[in-house]
Amino acid sequence: MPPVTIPAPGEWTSQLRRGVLELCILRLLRQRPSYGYEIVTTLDALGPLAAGENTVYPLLRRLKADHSLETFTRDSPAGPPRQYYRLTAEGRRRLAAIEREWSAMVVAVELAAVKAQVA
Amino acid sequence: MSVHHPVVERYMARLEQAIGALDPGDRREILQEIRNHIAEAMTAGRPLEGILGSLGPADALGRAYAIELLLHPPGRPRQGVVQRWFTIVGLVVVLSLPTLIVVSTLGSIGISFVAAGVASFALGVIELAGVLPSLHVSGLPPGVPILAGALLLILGMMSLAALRLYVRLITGTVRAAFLSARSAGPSRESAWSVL
Repeated sequence: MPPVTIPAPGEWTSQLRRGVLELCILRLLRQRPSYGYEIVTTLDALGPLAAGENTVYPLLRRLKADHSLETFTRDSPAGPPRQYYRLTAEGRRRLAAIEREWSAMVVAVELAAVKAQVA
Repeated sequence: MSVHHPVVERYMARLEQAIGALDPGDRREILQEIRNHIAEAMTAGRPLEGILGSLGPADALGRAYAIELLLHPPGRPRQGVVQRWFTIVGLVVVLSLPTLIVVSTLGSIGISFVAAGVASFALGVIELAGVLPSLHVSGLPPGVPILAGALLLILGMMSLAALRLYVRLITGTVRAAFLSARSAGPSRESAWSVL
């Protein structure tokens, strides 16, 4: 029988974070456009969602490539012009779809705990 | 603040190399974005070493971009529901007139040629066999109606085959448009399976 490897709690969090990161970025951009550095630092301040720039920037680029986000340039008070991201109509549809999945997932996880208590 | 530090330039050169397989437009925007990130972080007072350390090795960052963009190619932007149904209605309107002409022409040619071909062939054979001595199709030898019948039959069958092909093409086009209008979910798998 092969040895069973149990992922460390940190690794489990990392895998979970990768899954929810797209949802969080789309949610951050629902109210107003934002630029890369601001998105990264906002996520960084949210504890378990601190995914690191090398995950967030490529993900932003993919969301743009699949038309969920679009970019525009705006001058910065200090430094080079900033590239802002904003949600497209496709991005809003995608966000709504992922939020439905997320809600169903959260309910299912909680139900699993309740069922375990009842059994 | 624009950053032109030798360490940053080395980092950017390695990153540019690592994303060499990507679209030139993507490459330009990626390099600008990472440059902006470094400038923003330095403006915020972070040390350069920490900024680059946090970005990770340029090769790894380039690979992460390549994985996101090359392994998950973008889909076409999906139309809104109203637009999609307009596409179907437009398709039906545009295709209805040519369909009427093509179906009626090919259908009538196909059916009449096949019927005439079979009849002519049969009469030619009957005359040739002398089963009905009183039957004379024409003054021509019996081989002529047999050959003409076979020719008409072939032309009629070809016409019906062309009609079948046309109907398949049209139904395939309409079905594809209808299915795309009904698909309401996201075009790609959700974040769960992608990452």
